[in-house]
Formats: sequence, structure tokens, C-alpha cells
Amino acid sequence: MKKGRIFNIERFATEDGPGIRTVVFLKGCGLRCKWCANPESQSFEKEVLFNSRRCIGCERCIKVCGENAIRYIEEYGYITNPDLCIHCEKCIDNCYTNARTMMGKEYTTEELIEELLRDKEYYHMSGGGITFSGGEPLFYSSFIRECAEILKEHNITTLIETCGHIDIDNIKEVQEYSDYIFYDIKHMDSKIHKKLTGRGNELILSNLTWLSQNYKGNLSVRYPYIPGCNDDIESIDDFLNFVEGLENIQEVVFLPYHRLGLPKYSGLGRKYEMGDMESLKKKQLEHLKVLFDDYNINIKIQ
Amino acid sequence: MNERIMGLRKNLFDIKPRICAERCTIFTESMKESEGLPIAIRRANAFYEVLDKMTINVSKDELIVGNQARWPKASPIYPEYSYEWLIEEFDGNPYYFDERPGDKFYYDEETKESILSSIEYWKNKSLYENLRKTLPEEINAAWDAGVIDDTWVSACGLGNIIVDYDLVLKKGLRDVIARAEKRMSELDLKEPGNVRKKWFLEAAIKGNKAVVNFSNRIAEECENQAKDMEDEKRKKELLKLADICRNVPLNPARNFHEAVQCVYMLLLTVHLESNGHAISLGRFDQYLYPFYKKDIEENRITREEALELVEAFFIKCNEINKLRSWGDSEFFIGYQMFINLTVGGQTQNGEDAINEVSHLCIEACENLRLFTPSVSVKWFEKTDDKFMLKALEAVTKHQGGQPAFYNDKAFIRTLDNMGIPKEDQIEWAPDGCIEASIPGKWDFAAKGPWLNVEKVLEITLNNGVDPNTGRLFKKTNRNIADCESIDQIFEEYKEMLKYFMDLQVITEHINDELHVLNDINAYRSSLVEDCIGRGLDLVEGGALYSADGGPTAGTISSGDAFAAMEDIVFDKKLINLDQLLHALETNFEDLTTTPTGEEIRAILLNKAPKFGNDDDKADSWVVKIQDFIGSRYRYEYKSSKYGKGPIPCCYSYSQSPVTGNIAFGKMIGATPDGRKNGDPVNNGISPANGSEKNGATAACNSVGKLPSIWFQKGAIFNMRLAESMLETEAQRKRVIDLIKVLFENYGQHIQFNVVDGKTYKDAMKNPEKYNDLMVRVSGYSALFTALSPEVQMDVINRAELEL
Repeated sequence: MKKGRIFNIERFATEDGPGIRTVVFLKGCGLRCKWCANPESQSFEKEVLFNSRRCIGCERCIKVCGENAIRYIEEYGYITNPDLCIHCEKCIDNCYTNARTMMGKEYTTEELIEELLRDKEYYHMSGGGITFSGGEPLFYSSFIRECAEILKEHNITTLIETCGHIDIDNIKEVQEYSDYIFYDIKHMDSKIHKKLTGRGNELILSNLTWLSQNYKGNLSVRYPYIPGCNDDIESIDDFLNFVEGLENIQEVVFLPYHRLGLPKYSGLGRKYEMGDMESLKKKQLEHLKVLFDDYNINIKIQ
Repeated sequence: MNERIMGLRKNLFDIKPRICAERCTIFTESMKESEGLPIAIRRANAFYEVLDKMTINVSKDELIVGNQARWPKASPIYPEYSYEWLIEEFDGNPYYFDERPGDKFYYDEETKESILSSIEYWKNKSLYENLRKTLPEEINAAWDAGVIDDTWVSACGLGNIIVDYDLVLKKGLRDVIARAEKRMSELDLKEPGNVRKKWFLEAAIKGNKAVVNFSNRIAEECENQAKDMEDEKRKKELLKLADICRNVPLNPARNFHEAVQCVYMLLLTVHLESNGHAISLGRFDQYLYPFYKKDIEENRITREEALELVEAFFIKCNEINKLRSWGDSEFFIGYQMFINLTVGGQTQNGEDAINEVSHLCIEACENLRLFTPSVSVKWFEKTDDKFMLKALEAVTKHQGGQPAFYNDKAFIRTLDNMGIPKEDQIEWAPDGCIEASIPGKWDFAAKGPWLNVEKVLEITLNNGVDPNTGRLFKKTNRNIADCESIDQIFEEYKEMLKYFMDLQVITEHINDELHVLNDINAYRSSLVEDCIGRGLDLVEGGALYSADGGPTAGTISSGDAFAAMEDIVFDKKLINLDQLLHALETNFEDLTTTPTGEEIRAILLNKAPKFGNDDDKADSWVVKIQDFIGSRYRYEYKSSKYGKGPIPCCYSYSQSPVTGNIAFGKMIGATPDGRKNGDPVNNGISPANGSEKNGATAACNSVGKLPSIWFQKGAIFNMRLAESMLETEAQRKRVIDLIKVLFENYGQHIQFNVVDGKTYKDAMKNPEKYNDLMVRVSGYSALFTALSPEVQMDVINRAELEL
């Protein structure tokens, strides 16, 4: 039985694929995008996330921690030092207001399937299913494949959201079992890509090329639209040129930047690198459809 | 909405609700004169007098006519049911009517004086005071302690009736009168009991004639106005209205306009005979469609004209009002009349019953954004998805939770279990909030004392004593502190529920006897099968179907309380039972204990499973409590009409507390679900405020586990949706799919509040900007700004599901 480390399961998700879906967020990612909305998804290790709005300052967490791992930091609150934490969860059990949550829980295939099937009637009624997201879910390709095979027996579709920074073998292992793949591209210039995400983009682009030639399911490419990072016309032109040269791309979806991840940065004791930049509304990106309508690509804004 | 409708709608919002003395004065004078005669005759004569003497109003631009009082939205007074509160509140106790925190009513000195002078006659005669005098001491004590409460059907008339609109449209009151006369002529007065039947039938004829006379008076007013009318178009309209009012409801309706006017006249006059509320409309689209179809086919009306009439009708429904005592108002905040209007469902052939009138109703609901009538869509497996989408779009525009969605499959299963014949099952319609009735065949879809389900838990945990009043009701078998398992506590709780449910039933037997003696309403009874045949009023057992049962509040909160006790005290052992009981006794405020009272509350709120998250640990407790209450009502109790004709004459379960969850919450101390003293209990079967954490499908799965087979009187499920989640058709389709899965699992009902918290908060600060902002409180919607601040907060705090 395979296992996956999951930091969140979101039911009745309506923005991550067709119909009513449950999104499984797997922990760990090879990229470090500056704008990442799920900072708790990046590390493969378990982490304690602190929520200052629920905290009443009783400091029981500090008292019960045998590792001396929790410190009060003025701007963030009661933050756990991941290097000292042994994940015993005492501070979580003893936090009566649920201001602390353990990010990352091991699920066996069987355990996850049981949880996912709770909403099977909704998937069937709406043509929905399961979305594996992250982090980078494909680090868990064997786990996902095992789950997807069982889901298929229940007539439930699988969708994978990937950043593409992953060994091609992992992609090959699951692609047959995934009905949809949402594939992220952040920038076409590898140097800039490295600056924005910590890694170059060669692997990402070659993987997408392989998928476009071999994948039989629905392939959609997504572009997080981040002001000051990749929102210039030249970058977008480069991106669309590349996509136009590929086969089997159903659509390109632009994802407007948002800062909803901000409280999670402070809850992990981390600085938010995007500063005060405001979230974008969907309508602020609508012009892209017109601007780039000479491409033979179906462009959507989400 | 055309210009006329916009104007009529605006007037509705510009008018202030008032108190009108006319009905009170005329009725009282007539009753003084008729002393000594049988009650059926006396009330019928008084009804005739009221309809013959009250002021007639036909306002500018009206297309549907008739008035309940001197001014639109003014409430008549019914002192025969209760009057003490009128004296108190005219004296400012607890509030003057026009200074109440919610449901204000305005009045002048003259009105006050006439009402107070009529009241002199009613002293020692009102139904409410006689009920309180007659009830055994332990029931009055339970009433005063807030465990049960029968005010709504003793301080006012009985309601929750759907008369046979279809029959009157097709045959006219002429037919009703003829049948009553025939039945009367057949009676052999030598046979015992027949003289009483004769009185009833005489009264029924008098009542029907009163309505015909009233309609003729309205016609006369139209003719008078037409005489001086310079505007030729309006003059024509007035003459046409006069013609309509002279034809219906006496004779069969000849066209769509007459049919709509006839329905309004019946609705209005039933409200004038008694002030029981929740007089509903039944399957409006079904009985009106033949008239619409014929008019359209014969080019007598356009679709736009028909929509205008439906909209004018909706507006007129909002002119009907009811002044309740402040104490009673707290259970029904929002000027609520609970006039429910049903569309959809299935035909006798099992086909989708949606027709063009169903569409007109949805459009009127969306355009007008009014709180009355409550528009209800009945769903069944063949209901067109496109119609559901249209209805959901109306929900997003209405912003007050209308239309609400009802499940044929669930209600039919319930009615089948109650022995209602197949062909009548499918005709069911929600009455009032959500109670299932068979139009024209069922007496009172809901009736009987409220039951405060979580109060019973509080008394159980105090070994049978109410901590507020110190009264010992029934000693528990075990000392609760000595209980060794959660099951032992549950056994005690069931015993205590049984004790109070018994009191509920006894109360309603006594209340029924008083209504039989004092409250015969032969007119409305004659419009329900088979009152004429049996010569019996509804309260005497004249209808084909009958089942008692008043609303309950707090079942979900009680289930959460058991889940918390099991999990925190007996399983995880985070605190022991003594610690819990001490924390409850001190309202979580004792800070000297370890953990402190506050911490214990946080543990109960945050560490225990809660209903609404698809978590069996919590959901199963709710199911256990509901199965106990529901099956006991169904099989262990008989209503007073048992054996007199109607079936099944059992009790039945209602979980549509309107705002009673707040009123009852005030009577309950701290409870193990983490509620503090006086906080509201949960609303209907909606998860308690703030306890949903796993999203809409999880909430629906929890509701889908509940034994809805017991819920003939309905169970309200509110879900708040962010507006942004309903923007596109694809998003709305997902919500329809959500509803369909809930309904496949025998969920009965769902209604949506579509607004964001910001709008409500702003409306609290600037009510003047939100004169027409609607909110669904429970089984109905109301003007947000008419709600008292604490109800407003309850709406705002209701957890917003991430959709």
C-alpha cells in the first residue's frame, strides 16, 4: 500500500476542474515561486501552521513542548521552529482554540479513497471527480496512480495539477490514469524563471513537449499572471508562441495573482516576498483575450 | 416589472404597518348582541358584520383588490383569543408597539381607545387566559420555564390551512353554499348530534354569503370610483374590476384575471375570519394554469399582462398583516404571515408539472424581491434542470432565500408512512414555512406547543430541575454526575423528553377542547373536504387528514452536546463529568478551575465533533435524538380528533423554528455543545452557527443521514452562498447538482442565502440604505432591517460555506 503526505483535502471545490471535485493537496515541491499561495505546500516535512486570529495567548503550546521548539515572535506569533519540532502534536492537542494545525498527514491509498468516496454521488451527478494538487503532486506518482486506478473502477475522473518540475518517469507513471492535466508555465526565459522560482525551466518545457505528443487526456496550460514578474507582453508572447507550437493543448488559462496566502506565511514565521501588492480581479485580465486573439489558442481567465 | 407594478411595490415599502381597530370593534359589538346562541352561529354572524361594515379600500392602479384593514399592511385585532398583552403593550410594557426592537406597529390614540374599550367585554373570556386557567399546574410551570409554549395557537387563532382554491375557481362559492344547504336539508334533527351539525352548516352558509357580500361591496367601491374618474383607462379598469368582483368568488372564474382575484379574495377572507397564520396558497401554478392557457389560446391576454397580474397578486399578499404580542413576535420576527406558494412537482400522470404559470411565479419572485408569498419549488426526478437553473438565478437576484427547494420524494415517503392515499400524496404542498399539507383536505398542517429540545437536556443534566426557576419537573433515575457512560445520560434524556412530550400532547388536547367551545370558523372549514359532509368544523374533525405537532428548536444543538460529552468526557477524557457540570453551572465563567471555564468552553467548541461536517460521531447523535422524538410522535400519541374521521391523527415532527431558536435559546443556560447562557440554539436542521468546516457537500451529507421520514412538518436547512459562487451557469449547475444529490438522499428542503457578510453589516449600520434587503431567517424570508439586532447578528454569524 502506497502512502501520500497530504496537507489539505478540500471538498466541493468548484475552481479546479469540471463539476464538483475534491482537491487533494500533496506536500512538497521542487520550486519556490515567490508568489506561492500555499507556502505550507513547499517543504516535504510536516510543519505546524499557526493562526493568530484564533490564538488567545494562553501559551500552553510553549509549556507542553518538550523540545523547546516554539517561540513567540512579535510580528508572527507562536511559531514552531521546524528544525527542533519532532511532530508530536502535543501543542496542537493542547491548543483549545485550534490556533495550531499540523500541515501534513500520511494517508494510505485505502484511507484516502475512503475519504474521497464520501462525495462520490456529487462527482457522478456533476461529472466531477478528484483533483491532485500540491505542492507538486507528481512526487507521489505511484500513490496517485494507485488511487486513480481505484477511482476509475468507481467511474470517478482524476485530474492532476502540476508545475512540471519533475522527473519524466513520474509523469509517465500516471499519465494514462489521469483524465485531465493542468500544467503550469511561469516564464519562458530560464534565467528569469530561476530568479522567480529557484529553478531553470528546461525540464518543465521538455516535459510539456513530451506530454503534448504522448498524452491522450485533456491537457490545459496555465499561466499565473504575476505583476512585475511575467506580466509583460513580451513574456506572454514568448509563452503563447511556445504553446501554439505544441499539439493537443485544449486551452490556456491565465490565473490572476492573489495574496490570499499571506496569513500562512506569517503562520509559518516566514516573510511574504510579494510585499503589499494587491490581488488582481478576474476582470483586470480580460483584456488579454483581445490582446492575444491572433494566436490559435483558446484563452481563458479564471 | 412595468411602471404600474413598480409604483405599487414602492407604495408597499412607503407604508408603515399600523394597528386597525375596525374588526375588533365590529366583531365585539356583534358578539355582545349574540350571547347565548351557539358559537358557530355567533362567530359567523360577527364575521358577516365585519365584512359588511369595515371600510373598503381600492387603491390607485390596483389590479387585484380587497383589504384586510383600513390601511394596507395594517393589522386587525382579534381580542377573543387574547388581550392582556394589548393592555400591557399599549402601556409600553415591555415596549410600545411603535418602539419595539423588531416588528414595529404604529397607531393613533383613537385606535388605542377603541381597542381598549372593546377589550372590556373580553375580560375572563379569551381563549388564551382560559387555556392557562384550565391547564394543569405542571404544564403552566413547563410553559413558564420555556420548555413548551403554546402561545401561537391559543393567543391567536389556528392557522396553517390551505383551502380548496381549485374547487372554488371551478365551481364558485355558489357550489359550496348549495352543498351546505343540501346537507342541512338531509339532516334528521331527531338524531343525536345533528343539531350541532345544523348550526355549523348554517354558519358555513352565512360565512360564504358574508364573503360574497364583501366582494360586492368592493365592486360597488370600484363603480363609485369609476363615476368620478377622469382617466379613461383607469375608469375602464375599475368597471372591469367591479364586474370581476361581482362574478367571483360566487361563480366559477371566467378568465385568468378573475381566477387570480378569486384566489386573493379567499386568501384575504380566511385571514379575516380568524388570525391564525400560515394560510397558504398550495399549488398555485397548477390550479391557475387552465385559465392562463385558455386566455392565451383565445387571445384574451398576453404573457406580459398575465405576469403583471401575478406580480400585482404578490404585492397584495404583502398587505396582509398580523399583530402578535411581543413575546409571541420573538418566535416569528419579520412581519411574517407565512403565505407559501408552491410551483412545480408532478402531475397525476407522473409528469413534470412545470407550466407557464410556474415560470411567471419565478419571474415575479425575482423581479419583486418581496418576502411574501414564500415561493417554493417542488423538485422531483423529472423536474427540468432548466427550470431549476432559472429558479436558482431568481435566488441570486432575490437575495432573500427565495425560491426555496423542496423534495417530492422525501415528503411523499413521509406522507405514505402516515397513510395518506397515493393520489393525494403527490398533491402535497408546503404550508407556512415548510409543513406538508394536502390542499383542501388537511386541517392544520402544524398546530400544538413548541418544544425546546435543548432545554430538556439542560433540565436532564440538572437531575430534573430547571436551574432558572428551581422547579423540579421529574427526578432523573440516576444522579447525572454518577453516570458512567454517555448512554446512561442518553437514557435519562429520553425519559425527560418523554415527560415533556407527554405534556405537549396533553396541552394540545386541552387547547383543542377550548377551540371546539369557542372558535368555530365555519367559512374556512366549508372550503376543506369533508367538513360539509360531516357537518363538522376543522377543529371538530371535519377534514380528511389531520396530524398535530408544534415546532421544535435545538435538536442539532442537543446532538452536538451529546457528541461533545461522549468525545471530550468519556472517550478522550480531557475533562471529567464533574468539571463539565460545574462549567455549565457557572456559564463557563469560573476562572479558578483547571482548565478554566473559558478553556472548557473552547475545548467543547473546537475539539468535539459537530453536526454538519459529515462526521458520524456527531451526526449519529442527531439521528438518535430525531428517531426517538419522531417515532414517538408518530406511533405513541393520538391527537384529539382521533376516531372522529380524519387520518392519521398522530403527532408529527417539525423543525422549522422560524426565530424560535433565538427566543427559546434565551431560556437555556450553558450547554455541552459550548453554547453560553441565553445564546440561540441551532436553526432547523442547519448546523449550529460556526460549526460547518468541511464545505457544502459535507453539510448535505450530514443532513442526508437524518430520518426525514418523521418530518411531515418539515425541517429547515439553510445554506448561505457567496454571491460570487453563483455567477456563471456552470457554477449554478454545480449547486443544482448539489441539491439533487441531497434530494436523492431524502433531504427534504434547502434554501440559500445569497449575500456576503459585508452587505449585512452595512445594513445594520445604515438600515435606511437597505429598505428592501431581504434575508431568509428560517423557512421564510423577511426584510433584514425589520429584524431585531440580535436576529441580524444570528444571520451574519451563520457560517458562510466556501462554495
